[in-house]
Amino acid sequence: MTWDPWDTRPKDIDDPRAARRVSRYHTREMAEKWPNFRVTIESAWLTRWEGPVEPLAQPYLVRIEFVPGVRTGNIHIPFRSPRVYVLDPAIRRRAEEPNTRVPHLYNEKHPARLCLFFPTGHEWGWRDSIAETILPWTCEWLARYEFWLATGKWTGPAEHPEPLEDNALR
Amino acid sequence: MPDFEIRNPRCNHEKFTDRWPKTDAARDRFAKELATLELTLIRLRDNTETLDLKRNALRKLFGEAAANIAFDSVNKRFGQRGDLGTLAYSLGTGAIGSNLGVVPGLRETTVPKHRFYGSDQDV
Repeated sequence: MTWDPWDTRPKDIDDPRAARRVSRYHTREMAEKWPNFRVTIESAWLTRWEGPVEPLAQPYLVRIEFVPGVRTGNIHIPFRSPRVYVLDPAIRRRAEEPNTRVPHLYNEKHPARLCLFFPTGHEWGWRDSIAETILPWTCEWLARYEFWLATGKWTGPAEHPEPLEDNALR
Repeated sequence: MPDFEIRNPRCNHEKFTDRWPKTDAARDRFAKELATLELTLIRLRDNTETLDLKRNALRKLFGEAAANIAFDSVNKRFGQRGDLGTLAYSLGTGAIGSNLGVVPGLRETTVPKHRFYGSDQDV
């Protein structure tokens, strides 16, 4: 699950060559462990994968975006934790409770962005494999979502802290 | 009444046939209901529908309370697996399992522990 390509981690990877190494590492891991996913954008500043998962009773198409952090000249794109969106089917509220939001989303509007880990809880870091953390968490989220649709109850580990500064979530 | 009788093998004085439908129409209705039950159970087993549709199917067959108890029980166990960090998934497909019988034949890899973050507003 962990990877150590450098002895120390800069705040942002910055070096375009290092950023590419990080992205290639994740791309290689994704291809090996989630062969149905395909890379739809591969650049120094952004890697995007899209692919199917079927956690419980329904297949989904999901998108994962990862920004390794890069600086080129005056342009600086900071490191960003992976973002996961559900492309199809659209995440929906329960028919029985149309005024109740879907739990654990950053953005409910389609395509919904999933809240997979506690951002200030050190649960995901730059050393962690997207294929072995973000993807299984995505599948777990979708499975719990299916149970939530059926029962109205979201079970399992969750955190409901006070609202955080916007930057802390990204 | 049928012109034969079937007794409970474990309780000989009980006649099952006493409770059988007494008319042809009632027997036809019973046969149709039995066919519906069988088809619904096949649909539930074959994992081709979403959980909320499955729950609705259970409600129709066994009533609201029974369906609620069944789903709440599985959902609770599913949640406990997450709390304990013993939830498993299948690489490649992402099938989630936890010895719940939801995904037969799952090659298990443990889901790393984490907490879903929650807010009631978009951020």
